[in-house]
Amino acid sequence: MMRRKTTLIGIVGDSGAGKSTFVNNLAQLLGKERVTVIGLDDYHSLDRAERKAVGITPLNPRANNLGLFMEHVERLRRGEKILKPVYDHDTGTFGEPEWVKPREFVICEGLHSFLFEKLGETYGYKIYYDTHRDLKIRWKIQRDAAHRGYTVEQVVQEIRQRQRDIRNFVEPQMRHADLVVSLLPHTVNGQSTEAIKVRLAERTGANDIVHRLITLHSRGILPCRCFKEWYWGREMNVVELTEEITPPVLEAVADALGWGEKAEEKELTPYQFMLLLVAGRFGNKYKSGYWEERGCYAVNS
Amino acid sequence: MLSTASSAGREAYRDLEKRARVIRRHIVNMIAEAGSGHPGGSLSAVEILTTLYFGVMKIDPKVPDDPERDRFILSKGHAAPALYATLAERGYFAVETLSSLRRLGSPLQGHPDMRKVPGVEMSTGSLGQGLSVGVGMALGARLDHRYYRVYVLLGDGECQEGQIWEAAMAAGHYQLNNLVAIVDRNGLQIDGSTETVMTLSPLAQKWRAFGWNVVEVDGHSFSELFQALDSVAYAHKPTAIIARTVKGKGVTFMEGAVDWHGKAPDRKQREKALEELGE
Repeated sequence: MMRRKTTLIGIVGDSGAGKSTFVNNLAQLLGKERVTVIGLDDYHSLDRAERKAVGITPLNPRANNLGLFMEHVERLRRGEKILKPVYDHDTGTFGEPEWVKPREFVICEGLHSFLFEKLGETYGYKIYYDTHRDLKIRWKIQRDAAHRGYTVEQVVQEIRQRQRDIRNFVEPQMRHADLVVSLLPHTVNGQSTEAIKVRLAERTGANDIVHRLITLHSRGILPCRCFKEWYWGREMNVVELTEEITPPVLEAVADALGWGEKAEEKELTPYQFMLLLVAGRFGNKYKSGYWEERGCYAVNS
Repeated sequence: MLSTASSAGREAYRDLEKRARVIRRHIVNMIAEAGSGHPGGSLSAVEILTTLYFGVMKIDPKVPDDPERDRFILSKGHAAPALYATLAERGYFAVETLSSLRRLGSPLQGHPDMRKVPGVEMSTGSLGQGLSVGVGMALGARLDHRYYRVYVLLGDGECQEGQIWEAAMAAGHYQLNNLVAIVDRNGLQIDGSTETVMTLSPLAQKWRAFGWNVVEVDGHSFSELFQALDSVAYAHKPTAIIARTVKGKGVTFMEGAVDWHGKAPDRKQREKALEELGE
């Protein structure tokens, strides 16, 4: 059997931060038939009742079978199929495991996708997906307070309680990421608006997405803010996208990055543009009307 | 255990090494221009401060009063030049301000003032008090249901102060796992070797006996400092990091020399120091 080349993409981010939507949208853009998605939640080692008995959250590495996950990532890289465990979020227990085959792209998404250095080396590309806590609160209020009857205070308290585990067990992985995608509320005169701005960061000296965007900015093609910032001991180049990307700007960017020639007729939000950039990095050809066809407009639906 | 940024091998700490060099140059220049100050204990703490401010602490220099921010207290306040240089490089205030060290009217006095310098969490200089404040802040986080950490940098000579051990006892009692004390163990104080003035050894056992997790590291190794600070994520007690350092680190004629505890380099010494530190 001929072995196809598999590109492994590791994605780390908090749950409830729009990560699944991000992964879904990315898979859509790359072509669903070319993508296998592995969710690290399936690798919990303790079910919900056991976690409660021990007194830890799924954010704690101890609650997860990371050994098996490492083994599986390595198998997927070699093009082998894996017998993946299945965790049922509704019941908080495990179902029957299932066979999963690697396609051209394998996206491994979860809370600890590149917790270990060895694991991190397996991926072709590592993305840390970071959502500002105010956005997490806003989205969770919209979902939980509206549909599940929680009070706003309860939602805020729950998110704050998660923050400790996030900073202890999830955020340190940022130091291994090739790209850090941050979603932040867009504030005007100190007031936060419905709009979302996007920051893309990569280490200074790297010659990838952010580097190219900075070049486009310096050539006057792309409206954005460029600066340097420290993330976990690494100095990063950061590009902040606040404005909507108009069809002429997109055309110029697509042209410069070799995506294609036709222009979108609608404006793209910074979030949609960010998705195109990430997908474009893997050789995805930009096509006019992509967004309408695939319906990936919503950030957190 | 969390991994420690060595995925790119020796490249992993490239940015921090460069920043540490820049901070050391600032320290030498500031003290030389002021004509007085404490170079020895400032230079020994550079990697500790760099790891905290550029690598580990959750802070945003643009929002220095964010209630969720991590706190840092320089209990050994005489190392103020190291803290000022770090804060300026991290973006709390303009780097140009550094040259006003110890001038009349400057915010940057010989010991840090929380009312004048953005990013300074506690006014210090009178030794022995910083850890007590840190215990209070760590307990405050618990009361407020906040999840920030509190880091306190102590001198080793400072650990001869009785108040340090009252605070250590309280932190152990309350199992403050959000509190980290780092001891800059350079072995020297103003009057000579710490062991001659008032024996501190065995220092690790002392902290352990007060109910702390103790980690001993090379205080100039980013890799060891990161691993020690990563271990705080799993701690059920307060963490004491005993960082073995060299007083005056980076400038050979100041290294391990007790007379560089508190004097300024002259013009020639400054030039030689800067030449050694490199760009």
